[in-house]
Amino acid sequence: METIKVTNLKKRFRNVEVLKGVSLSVRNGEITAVLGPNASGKTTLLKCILGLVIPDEGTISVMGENTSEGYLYRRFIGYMPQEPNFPPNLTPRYLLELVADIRGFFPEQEVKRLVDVFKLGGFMDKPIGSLSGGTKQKVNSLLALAFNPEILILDEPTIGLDPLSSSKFKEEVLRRKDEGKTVLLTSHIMGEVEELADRVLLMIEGSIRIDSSVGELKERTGEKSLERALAKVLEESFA
Amino acid sequence: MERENWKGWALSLSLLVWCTAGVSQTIEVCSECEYKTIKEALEVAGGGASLLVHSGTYREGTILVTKSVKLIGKGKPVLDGEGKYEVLKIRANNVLVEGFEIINSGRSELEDIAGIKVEDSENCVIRNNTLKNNFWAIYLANVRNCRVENNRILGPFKVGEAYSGNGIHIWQAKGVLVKDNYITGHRDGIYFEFVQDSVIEGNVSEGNWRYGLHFMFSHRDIYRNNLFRKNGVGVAVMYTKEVVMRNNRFELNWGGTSYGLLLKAINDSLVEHNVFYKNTAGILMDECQRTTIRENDFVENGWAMRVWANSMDNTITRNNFLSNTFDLSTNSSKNPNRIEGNYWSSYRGYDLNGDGVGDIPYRPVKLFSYIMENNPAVSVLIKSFFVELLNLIEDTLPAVVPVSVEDRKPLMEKVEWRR
Amino acid sequence: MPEFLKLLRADLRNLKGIKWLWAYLLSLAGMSFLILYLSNDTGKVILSLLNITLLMVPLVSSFFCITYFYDSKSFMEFLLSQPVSRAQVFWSKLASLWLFMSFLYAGGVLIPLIKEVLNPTLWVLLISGVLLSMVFISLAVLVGTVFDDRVKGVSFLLGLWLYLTVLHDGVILAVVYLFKDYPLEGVVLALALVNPVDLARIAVVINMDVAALMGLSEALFREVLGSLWGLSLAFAFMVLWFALPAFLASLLFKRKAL
Repeated sequence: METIKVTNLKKRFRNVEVLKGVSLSVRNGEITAVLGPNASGKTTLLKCILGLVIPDEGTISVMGENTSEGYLYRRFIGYMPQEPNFPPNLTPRYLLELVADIRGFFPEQEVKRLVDVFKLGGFMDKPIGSLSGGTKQKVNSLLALAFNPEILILDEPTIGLDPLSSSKFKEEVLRRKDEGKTVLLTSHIMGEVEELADRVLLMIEGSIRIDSSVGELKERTGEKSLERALAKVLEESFA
Repeated sequence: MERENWKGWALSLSLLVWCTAGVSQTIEVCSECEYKTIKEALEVAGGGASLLVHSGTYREGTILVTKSVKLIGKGKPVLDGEGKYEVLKIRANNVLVEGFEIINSGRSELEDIAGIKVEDSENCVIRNNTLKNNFWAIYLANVRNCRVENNRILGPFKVGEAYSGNGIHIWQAKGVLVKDNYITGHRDGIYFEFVQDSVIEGNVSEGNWRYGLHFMFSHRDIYRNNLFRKNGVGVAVMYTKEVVMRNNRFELNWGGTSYGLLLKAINDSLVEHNVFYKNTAGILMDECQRTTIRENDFVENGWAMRVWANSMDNTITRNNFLSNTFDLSTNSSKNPNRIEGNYWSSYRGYDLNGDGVGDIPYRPVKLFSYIMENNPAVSVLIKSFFVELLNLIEDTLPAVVPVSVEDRKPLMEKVEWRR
Repeated sequence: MPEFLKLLRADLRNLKGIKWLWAYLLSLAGMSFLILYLSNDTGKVILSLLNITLLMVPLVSSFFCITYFYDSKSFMEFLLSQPVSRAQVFWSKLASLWLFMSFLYAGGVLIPLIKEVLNPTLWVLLISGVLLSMVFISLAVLVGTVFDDRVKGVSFLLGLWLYLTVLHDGVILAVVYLFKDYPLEGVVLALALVNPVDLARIAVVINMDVAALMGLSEALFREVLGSLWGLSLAFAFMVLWFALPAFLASLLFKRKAL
């Protein structure tokens, strides 16, 4: 099932055309990775889906709801921003309660489990300002995962996490996939993409250059690593 | 024995004759007396007679006095004009009115109806009376050598020409003494027109809705030890020369159009040892010449003095300017008056040679007050930062101020003057 | 409970934890105590407090709020990934600042002057100070919404603050000085009414003794500034002054890329 469908998305900031007519669809039960160099437009694409950036042209639908027509579609989304910057005087528990308040339910069991998984038990009632970067990122993960959303949008999710938490986080993500949820992520770490992604979207200068499943890509190029496979495709296309 | 008796009778009889002959005739008036009304008593009274009026309320319309009598109230008899009549009208010399309470004179838009009116007379004495709720209270017209002393005058406390006239109103007079009276609730507390060579002292005039004291064309008068407080406008004196105002207090005349003392066309006069406290403007000088303002205290007024440039050759010296919002303002960049040797509490200069005189001149006219004098609209900027900043700049760099008025010999210490 | 209130509560809770905001309250209270200690004359105390208000309130309100607004961008981003609308996020942020800064101001002035709580002039001062806080918060948020670059935003706001607090009155004075031969009542009044700092000052001053020094003898001033009329007018203009920038900022925020 297509959970996210983007059609001919365009966005320009002043003189820079950041998205030049992007179309894509993301299915559930899959992990889709958006790749691309810095300033290729991938963060803008995610922000458009989230409604943080309002596109100049094109449409986005999430679970069949047009994103320009409301904000309630976001109840389907759990978002993990790259650098969380929560108000320093609030506690993780309060944030969780706030989100629960907004979403209308508190997933007690899941929270308990995730707090255990990420070993956040001792930090839930401390002001966020007093937490380390890694712990903040774990809180970030918790907030994205706890409400068991249909769609997870993860922007460079493992960057601030220690190896152990990182692997636990990946486990969580894979589990969601198996449960039939949709995952859309960006990452610079090729190993991580290889480990997680079923499909990759390569964006360069505001356009999607490659939209393919990982298996198909490797098969077509005969390369074993994703990185090489991508490089080969690009070479071909320029040649 | 009988002879002795006869002698006694003869003595008594002769005394009686002597009295009724007018040397010292005394007629008593009271509800149980032979004469029940003042009018009846006046009918029979000879010149120089004393009418002893005992306590009670007398409603007799207008009592006209045309003989030189002494009207003496005993136990504060009340003369009531019932809101219709002029109560006491005197047209004779040497009349004394003492110890009465005179109330409720009539009102009129055409005539000046008074509680006590004295016309065309000499040597009258009005003293120790209480006047309440009269249109005009004490009204003297065309008199000489009269004394108005120690009267307590409470007006109708109503604002408007149609409701209240003046407390002590004197027109065309010479040699008058107005002393120790208390006046409130009238239009003008004390009003003089063409009153000359007179003394006004020890009076308190407060809470009158126009002026505490108002005079015109009243030369060579002396005002001393009076208190003018909280009058609607203040004290306004006009078109007069050779006045002396000394030891008076002008205070709390506060309002958009109020001032302590307006000197309008006052020439060759002296204002000395007075205190101006918390008036919108302490003194406002308009068209005055050769008048000296000396050894006065100006305390916490809006403007201590507003001296318009049409005033010339006046001297302002040895005064204390203490904590006024503006010390001096004027409407022209030059001011042809001598302002020298005053103490200014906001002077920030120094005295290196220790002679008690500041080494740099003081410029009492702030740029802001100068602009405001010419264009009052700018007053919306009162208490603005910019203005405070401007004042600060002026204090440090006096040259930027276009107004050249300055005190070249500002005193370092307050002037200690004695009354 | 509607989302707006939930967000507002969270914002307030966050503001409550910022220590130097409490220092703002304490310094206001400290200065009020000091002034009260130096003078017994309530009129003078209120005038001194007016000066402090006119200087501190715009400065603290605008610079704290623009910094705070920039700092909370990523949190707003996080909130907007939840099912809430931009309007809810924007207005809760603004309202929390309005409420909290007003509370701090009112507290700082009122605590030392609690004995004067029935003095109407104190209330005029309080309302003026609160409105002035709200005006500068709205302006800060507007500037923060317009400029994404923090340095540009803060510089612009600094200029605006300087203009409104000091220079504008200089312009009025210059206009009067240069055109002194023309009747200027209306012009001056209009110029004063377009500046929230002047409005706050005039609202207090026309209720004090010093009002007698203003040209209230002039018919227009008496009519416009006299008594309750002038006060309502000044307050109404200040309400416009915080409502319009806020509204404009909310429109811009709706379309803004975060």
